[in-house]
Formats: sequence, C-alpha cells, structure tokens
Amino acid sequence: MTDAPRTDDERDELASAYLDGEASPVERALVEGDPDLQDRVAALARVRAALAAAPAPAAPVEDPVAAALAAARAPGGLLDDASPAEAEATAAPSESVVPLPAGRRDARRLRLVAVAAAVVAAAIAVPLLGRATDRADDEAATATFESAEGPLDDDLAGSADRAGGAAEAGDAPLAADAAAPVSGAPVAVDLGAHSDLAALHDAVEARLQAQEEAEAGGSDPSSTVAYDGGTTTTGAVCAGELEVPAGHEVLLEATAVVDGVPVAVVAHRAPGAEPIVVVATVEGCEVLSAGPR
Amino acid sequence: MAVDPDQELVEAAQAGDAAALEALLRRHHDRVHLLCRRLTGSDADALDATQEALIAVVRGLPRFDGRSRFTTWLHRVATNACLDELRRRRRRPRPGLPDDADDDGHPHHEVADPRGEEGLHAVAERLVLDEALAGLPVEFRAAVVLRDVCDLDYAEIAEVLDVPPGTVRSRIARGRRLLARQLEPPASAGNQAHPPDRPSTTAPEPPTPPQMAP
Repeated sequence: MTDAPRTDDERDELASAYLDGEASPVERALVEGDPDLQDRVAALARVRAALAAAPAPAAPVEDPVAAALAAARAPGGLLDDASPAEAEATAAPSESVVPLPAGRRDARRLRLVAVAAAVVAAAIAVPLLGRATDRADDEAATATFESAEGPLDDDLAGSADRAGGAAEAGDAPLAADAAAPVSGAPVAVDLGAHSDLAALHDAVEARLQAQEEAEAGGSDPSSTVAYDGGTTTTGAVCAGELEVPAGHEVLLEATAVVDGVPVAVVAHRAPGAEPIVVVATVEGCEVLSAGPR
Repeated sequence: MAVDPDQELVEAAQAGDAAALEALLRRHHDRVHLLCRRLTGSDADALDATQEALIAVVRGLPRFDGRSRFTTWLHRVATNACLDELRRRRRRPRPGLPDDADDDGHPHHEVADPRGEEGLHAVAERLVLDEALAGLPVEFRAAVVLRDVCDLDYAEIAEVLDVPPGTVRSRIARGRRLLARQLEPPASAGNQAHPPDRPSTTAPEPPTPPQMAP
C-alpha cells in the first residue's frame, strides 16, 4: 500500500500496521505526515494497551499439566516406557486410560462415561424388560436404545479424539459415579413420526399434559425424576448435547422422527418453572430446537 | 532464525525425558491459558481448552520438527483447542442455565479478590474487555489476541491461523477498530464505561474459521 489510503478500512489498516511496526517505510512516512492517521494510531494504541494490560485470572496449573503428563504416560504416549512396537501393540483405546484430575470440566468426560454405562445398562436391561412384563413402555425403551447405538459410538470416538484421549478415562470410579443419574431417568418413549417440528412439539405437549393429568390423579407418581445433572438415557444419543442441569426434573425422554429424520427429545424443568423441550437429531446431534414448550 | 529457547527442552521431551516435558508444559501453561481465556471469554471454557491444548501438545510433540518456533506451533495447537471449545459451546443447547451462569442467565465471573477498589476496578475492566472481545467475529478476535495479548508478529500469526499475512493485517485492524468503538466512551457520555450501542455477549457468533492442522 503506497498510495494514500482513502477508505476508513484502509486508513485503519495502515494505522494498525504502523502501530505494530509492520508498515513499510513509505507507509510510515504517510502516517507521520497525516494528523488523522496519527489520531487513528493513538486510538488503536489505547485498545492495544487495554488488551495487554488487562488482568488475567489466575489459573490452576496443576490440573492441565497433570492431565497432559498422564496422556504422555498412556500406552503409546511420549513417556510410555514400552518400545514403539510394544506401544503399538498395547495402545488399544480401552487400555489408554488417562487419569484426569477431578473438577468441573471433567463433567463432560463423566457424561461420556455415563453414556458408555448407559449402553451397558441398556444391553442388560432391555432383554430383561422384554421378558419380564407387558408394560407398554418396554418397546419404547428398546426402540430408543436401538436408535442410539450408531451415533453414540461415533460421538464417543470423536470426543475421545478431540480430547486427546481424555474421553478414554473409563476407569471404574468415574463410571460408577456417572451411571447413577442415568439409571434413575424415566424410561424413554417413542413419539412416532411427524411431518415437522411443530407437530412434534404438539405431541410432546400432549404427552406432558397426559403425564400431568396422570400425576394429578395419582396414577403415575413416578413419571418424573429429579436429576442431578448430566445426560439422560435419551440424551446419551448425543452425549454433551442434551444436557440436563442439576436439580432439574426430567419430565420426558423420547425418540421420534421428524420429516424422516430420527430425533431425540428431552423435556425437563427447574422446580416450579416451565418445562424446556430440547430436540436434537440422532445423526449428527444437531439441536433443532431448545426452549420452553 | 534465532535459536529457539525451547529447543533444548523440546528435544529432551521428545527423547522421553519426563522432567523436560513437565518443565516445558509449566513454562508455557500461563501463556496458553491466557490465550484461551481471551479467545473463549469464559474461565471454565478456558480451563477446558487449556487442558485440551496441553494434551494435544504432548500428543503432537513427537511430530514437531522444529521448522517453526515451538511457541508458534504451541499457539497454533492452543488456538485450535480454543476454536474447538467455541464450536462445542455453540453446539451445546442451552436448555437451562449454564453451570457458569447466575440466576438471571448472565455468565458469572470469579469474585474479585476483596482488596479494595483496585481489585474491583481490575475485575470491572476485565468484564468490559471480555464483553468487547466476545462481540468480535472469532477470526478477528483470534488475530487481535494473538497480536496484542500473545505478542506474536504478523508472520507468526499468519502461520498460526494459516492465512496470508495481508489477511492478518486486515483482521487485526478491523478487530481493533471494533474494539475501539466498544471500549471507548462516546464523546458525549463523559466517563461512561458502557457505550449504549455495545453489543450483547449473548449475540450469536459468526461462523468459525476452518480447523487448522496442528
């Protein structure tokens, strides 16, 4: 840029480059001979100073470093004692346990473990349910878990990759902790096929109203479950995408089909608040809607 | 190119020296966290992204060939981790309150060290800055943060973001201009700290740039 800049964008770009010492000699001369450009340099310099001087919150160094070192010591990792050949032979995902420090951000990994626990529980529970009773919701539970299988695996694999192995932290204590809320969630139901989201929301509304009436009549006292945070059984279809805040009551877990697309539905609410309905595609976990019903 | 001050530690870590790896991670932890804090705008997301970044560093270190400075590569890995975190955050529904939000749905920030006005002022400044940064398109935010917070030059930023230096120059200028509009009080408002047209931090973010290979 050697001609005098005309537009605001051009003038700001020149002033900004000058400020950073990235302007050419010709450009520097232009700035130094133009009071307006010098004003722009001064304004941008104040922004730069504000950014540079802004206090950064102290961060705990131990947890991230410990997690990274744990990843390095995992089989096949940088600090793994095994030879490369041995490492390759032992680096199966199930053995790549990376102990992560406890903390709020491990909740996501807990949820991933919860998903795995849910799948195991489903594998055990579904056949038993099928044999044991004629309860109407058994077939719905079966449908839910069948539809969850494929994308669930994909999501776990993707998350493990993104987390650099963190999601592989399937050690027993974590799994035990995480499995508890999942086992207490309502049984998922199948809301059937709908032409669009509005129709699905109508079905959700009808279902919730029916539940409310049943509860009012005392016929179904256990249709809702107080939840302590994490992913419901249906939410396990899209781990991390269908989260339920701690303290919320899960009103409904369901699967459905909208315009030919399989979806998962979770309805929940804070005590005394309006229900919130979240709909996400089973494939790809795209959230189609989330909000009060 | 000048000798990379991290070269010795990097080579030792690549050879399996645990102490060298730990020293390398500790040396750069604060830098990575600061980058993540400014890019994600949230303490919790920054912690998450920092951990992801350090794990990615450990996993990628055997393939780091020293053609760029270690810090340049580190910033690239960390920036990717932050962009991943932002994508995940955007994909996550907000069916209820986020775990780092108050009862009104506003993200809460850690309480200031109660050391009087100075501490409160510092927190207030950071909140305003966080909001201003959150209002930037993420590609502008990344360029500005890498320049003004991490002190990378244009060539390094171009390498980190995998864009031409001219694009870096333009993004930094446009980002700073937007920040200036948000941070500087309007002429008629005296010392008013919050310009009335300041964008909300809850505004939807523009598309993030494509993933950069570490």
